[in-house]
Amino acid sequence: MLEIRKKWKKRRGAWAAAVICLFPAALICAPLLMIPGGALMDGAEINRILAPVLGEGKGFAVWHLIPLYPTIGHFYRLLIESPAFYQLFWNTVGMTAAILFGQLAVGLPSAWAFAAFQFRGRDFLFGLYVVLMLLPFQVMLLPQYIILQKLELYNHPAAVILPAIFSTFPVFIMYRGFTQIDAEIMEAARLDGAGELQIFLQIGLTLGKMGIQSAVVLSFLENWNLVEQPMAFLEEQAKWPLSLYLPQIDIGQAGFAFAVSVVVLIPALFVFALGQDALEEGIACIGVKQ
Amino acid sequence: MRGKWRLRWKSRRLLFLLPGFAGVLLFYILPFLEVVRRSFFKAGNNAFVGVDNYHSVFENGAFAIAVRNTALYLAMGVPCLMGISLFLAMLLRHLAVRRRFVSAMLLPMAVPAAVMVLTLRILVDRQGVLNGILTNVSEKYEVISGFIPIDYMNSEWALVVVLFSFLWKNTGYMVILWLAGLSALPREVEEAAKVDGAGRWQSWHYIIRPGLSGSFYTIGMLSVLQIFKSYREVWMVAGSYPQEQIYFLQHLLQNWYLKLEFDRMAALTVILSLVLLVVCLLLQKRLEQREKRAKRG
Amino acid sequence: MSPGGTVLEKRESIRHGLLRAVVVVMCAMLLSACGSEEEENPMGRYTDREVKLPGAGYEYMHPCPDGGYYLFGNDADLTHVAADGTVSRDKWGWEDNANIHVKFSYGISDDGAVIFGYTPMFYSDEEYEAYAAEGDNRYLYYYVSGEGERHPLSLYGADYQKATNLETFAFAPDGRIYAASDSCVYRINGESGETESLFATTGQIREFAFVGDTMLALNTEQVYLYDMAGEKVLSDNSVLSEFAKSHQSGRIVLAVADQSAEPAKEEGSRVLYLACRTGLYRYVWGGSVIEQIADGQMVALGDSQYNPYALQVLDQEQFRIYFSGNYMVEMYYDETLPMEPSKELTVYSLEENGRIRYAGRLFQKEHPDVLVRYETGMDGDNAVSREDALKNLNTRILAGDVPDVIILDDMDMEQYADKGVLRELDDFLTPYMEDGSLYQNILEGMRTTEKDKIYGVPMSVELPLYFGEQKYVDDMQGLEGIVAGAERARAEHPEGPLIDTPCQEDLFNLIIPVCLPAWTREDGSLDTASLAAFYQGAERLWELDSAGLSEEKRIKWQQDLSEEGSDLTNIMFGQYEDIYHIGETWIALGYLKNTWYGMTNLHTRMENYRNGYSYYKKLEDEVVYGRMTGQAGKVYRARTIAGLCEQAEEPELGEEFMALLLSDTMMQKWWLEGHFDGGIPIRKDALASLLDINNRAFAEVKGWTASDIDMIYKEAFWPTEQERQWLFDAMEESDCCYRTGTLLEGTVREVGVRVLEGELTPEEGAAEVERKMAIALEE
Repeated sequence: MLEIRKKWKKRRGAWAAAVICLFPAALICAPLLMIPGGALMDGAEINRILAPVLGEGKGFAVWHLIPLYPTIGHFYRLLIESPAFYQLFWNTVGMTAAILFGQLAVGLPSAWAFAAFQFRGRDFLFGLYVVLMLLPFQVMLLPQYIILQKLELYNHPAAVILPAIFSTFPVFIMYRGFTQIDAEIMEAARLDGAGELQIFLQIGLTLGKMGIQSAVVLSFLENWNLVEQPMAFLEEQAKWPLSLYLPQIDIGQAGFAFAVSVVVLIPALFVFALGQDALEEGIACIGVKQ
Repeated sequence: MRGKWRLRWKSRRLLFLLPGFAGVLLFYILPFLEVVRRSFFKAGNNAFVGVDNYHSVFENGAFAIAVRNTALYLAMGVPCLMGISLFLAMLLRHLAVRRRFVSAMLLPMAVPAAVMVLTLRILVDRQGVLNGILTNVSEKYEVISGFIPIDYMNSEWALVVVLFSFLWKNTGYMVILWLAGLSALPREVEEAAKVDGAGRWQSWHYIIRPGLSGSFYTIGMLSVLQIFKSYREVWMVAGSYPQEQIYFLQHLLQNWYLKLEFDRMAALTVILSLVLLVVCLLLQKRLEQREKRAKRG
Repeated sequence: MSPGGTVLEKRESIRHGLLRAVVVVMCAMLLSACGSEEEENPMGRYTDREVKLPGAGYEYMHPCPDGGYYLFGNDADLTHVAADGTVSRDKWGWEDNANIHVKFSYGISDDGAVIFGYTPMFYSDEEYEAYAAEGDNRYLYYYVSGEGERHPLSLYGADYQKATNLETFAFAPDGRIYAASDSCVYRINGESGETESLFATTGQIREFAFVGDTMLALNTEQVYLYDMAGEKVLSDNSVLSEFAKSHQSGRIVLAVADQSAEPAKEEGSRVLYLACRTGLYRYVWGGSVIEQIADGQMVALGDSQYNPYALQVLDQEQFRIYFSGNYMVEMYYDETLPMEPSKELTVYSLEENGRIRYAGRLFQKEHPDVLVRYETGMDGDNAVSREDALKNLNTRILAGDVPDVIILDDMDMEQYADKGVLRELDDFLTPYMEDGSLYQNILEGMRTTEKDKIYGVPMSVELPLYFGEQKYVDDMQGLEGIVAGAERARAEHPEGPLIDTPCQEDLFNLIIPVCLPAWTREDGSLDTASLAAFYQGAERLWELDSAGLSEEKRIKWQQDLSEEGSDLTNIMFGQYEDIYHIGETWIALGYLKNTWYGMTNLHTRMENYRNGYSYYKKLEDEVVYGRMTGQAGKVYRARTIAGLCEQAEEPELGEEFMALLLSDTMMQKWWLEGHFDGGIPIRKDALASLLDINNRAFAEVKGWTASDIDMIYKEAFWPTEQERQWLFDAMEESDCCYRTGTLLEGTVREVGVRVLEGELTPEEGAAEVERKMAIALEE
């Protein structure tokens, strides 16, 4: 009896935390419930309920979470009648995958170098990396355009992929993961005669995995919805990612836009659900094998 | 003999940084230097004008407004976001189902900007859902009788709306980062303290907070980054010339760009980056000192 | 932390690193430089010439193996053009035509047999119910044999459902008919209607081709191969499928060479040609490569306005390509042309402009050694906004990569002029000014305020116009005049709309252009008093208009129009669409966009709107018209404003292109080709000749009734001498240019909607505009 109470007492905190967290989580997700509903509404219903906002209707917009007359018309138009959709979808997938792999290949060692080694100018260089990360894209647009033109990469998918790979953003996040590793562990490994590469792969990747994981998830989110770079550097629509396929919002297109975003959201959900575990295991695996 | 070996060994260490640095140099540092160069030239005819562009930035009336608004937005947005997300992360960190929560909270990040903006408009338009609900409530219950619909985006509420949508979108993002930081704290210390009878507050004050000082820096910087990035959504909702309170530095940058005034834009960029660099270096220094002290202690 | 060696060592290593980085960058730059090295330009490439078609209204072309072809369309007779050019028509005046509403999806055989799908016309509810019982959205089919025997074809078959709509038809060389629905390919017996399904497909097949016994069915995903003799699906041809997948924008058409030659030819010697936007391609049947023989950009194929619909292989490697929009070219190899054009002319416009596209084609024909690149900043439904497009343009300009010609519509011309992007055109225009061939007053109206120079020349203008019954619109001068007229009309007609403004934006579309120039004072500051007066007028007009229209009706009206997708402000000098669009109003305001039909066909209202009958009267009766004026003077709306770039790479070519735009050919031809939205050309002789009745054959005016889409026909009235003179005079006196794309206009509209909704008073609105503009002026 006492034991159960003890257990309950121990769990109580966790339960309370879960309940408290439910509120913000629900608050955050609530507006998102509009999206699937909107995707299944027919044009007339959207017109009617959004007229006050987007058109001339009097009164106030109301929102039906569940459409009165559900239709899959928007999905039909998107998935069956627009072949361009698939191409753009795969463009996005390809672009995002290339960027993520590139960022891991290039950013991981960079972050490691900043975290594990002392070298002259390190602090300044790192500060510079942070500032470069913070600069708005619109100021880099012109000089990056000039460089990409010189490299003859303009209007080539690489014009979006390469700058994104070398983005200092993942370096910054992964660096934080690495600094949390105890310097003594590394010293000990060095004394044992481990090479730098070995230390990086065995200690860095294993112990810094939370940082890597968050870098990958956040990078994914950012690149999955990349808008400005492809708009500026890719001229041909056939090379565009899906994020540019969304029409500009007007009342006639609202339902369609909602349908597109449902389809865009699904892979993201998938990544959250499976990607995190897979990544964690993958990193653990590398660590063990070495 | 040994010295030579060490040299080779040292330069091999830098090989970690080099590939990344080469790319950063090509795609970020060189472009940035080009911006710096152009900040000293006139945009139309490329004549050297010295610091004239900098003068014209400082003398610009819109610049003062934009700086004030951006500073206010940062001052409100960054602490709010960090506080809320840290609180949630602390609650979530021992939960088995935390990943579900985090995924749910991250969802707004995955929504395309255009749709997010549409959702926002439906909610806060003068004839939007929010005003509709408030009007209904005021009619039925006479709590706030005589409620007049507010045009949120065209009144003093604009900054509040922008702030809320920023928090809504980015909380999950920061929670994930706090969780990463928290997971690195050695759990044994905390448990040992608990056994020793340390209360929640004490363990936060003496164990968790010092252990998170690095995360404070990182997450603070990323909050600033996200504030800068939220510009596109603000622009999509309210256009190039929004209500005065939500006219930010990026509006100014973008409008100058649309007016082909890259010279002034470059000057402003240089000023902005210098400020950011100084702030970054100071914070880094402080962080390092604190970490050293923590280690000694 | 580990002791990091001596300072010297550290420096060494950093120097090492930097050195390497620099080497990497240099290599990259070097590589890119190598790629752009000049090469010798060999001669010879494909080019094309337009083929004159024997009439208008065709939508489908079937190439015959003997070099002749058939043409057919909803509004046209079946026409055969033999290889020697002899034209023979089969008149479709037969009685079944009365039951056919719209024809589409045609298939024609080499000997003139035709199959097509149509939607039926109903004359009674019973007829409709009988049809709808089996699916109310299905097509019916019709068959005409090569001998001329014709009958409706009711399709039947074990696995054929009536509700399945077939959209693509083709006759195989052996005379059998193949057809495709969105998920299946069928074979049809044209005499009996028996239909059997052959195989399932994902997505609609758009094109069939026949190579010996093999049928090719093509959609955007893959190419299906079907053995017609063995009646089985063959394995996929990966080369062709790959091609289909990578050329998804627009259609791909196929044709087989030497089809008429020996049928028993070896597989390897059959040659298949493919045409799509990116060019013309050649594929040896069974091979592993598809080679490009003509680059789409240098022939008509690259024109994104037209889709290839049919490809015909003629003797000596010549080709005929039939395009959507009833346009056909012949492609031939010209040895005298350089393989790659040595020069490039770049023309930029924010949005697609048909006239510029057309001028580009003309220019390309006149200059085979020049590649004309027409670029548009924003097209189609996507996330690129006007600001994004302008940002991209500015990036190019700032990087020194300027187009040669910019079309300045919807752009802030003054700003680009002030920043030195545009070239001053006064010298270029001197000859035109001297010979008086252009309306000089209109050119003068284009002068910028700051530098008092001309930087852009419009190809045409639109004139603001009002018309209506005399008692309402009599002497309607200024904004107050419009309001007064509306008051009079409302007093007599308490119900229904007054002015053609389904939404607030439309009201602004109508009245902003004639008022905007009045809001800016000489010194560039905003005249808030006149802006407040504008808001007052707009508010009153909106009140009057809304008074007779319930909320539901307005929303319904908006919906109808958003489905039609039309711009309400376009009066096309009685152009037919107006019967529908101008409808229902007592005072019509708008912009004269065309000289196509006479002014006598201006329509002011439609009675019995609901019953679907249209009523309109000739202008001569009691309807009068005149120049609409607002707060500003004699305003004109400039269209297709062309400017030259200061730092253009090919300034001479840019000038030549500009001269082409202003030439008599271009000014007349575009209009005569049947483009209704041309505006009124600013070239005097072109306008005179367009208004000359003797230049044109009789035409009738078509229109649709509002409740249904029944078509009605009415006779057209040509402009009288008096009306012509009115237009010439109106052109002569226009001196105040309204240009789109200014910040002020955008702000006034945005705030204006809030004023019309009653949120702000006119004075508050004007103050709000001033406040918003203040930041912009500060910048």
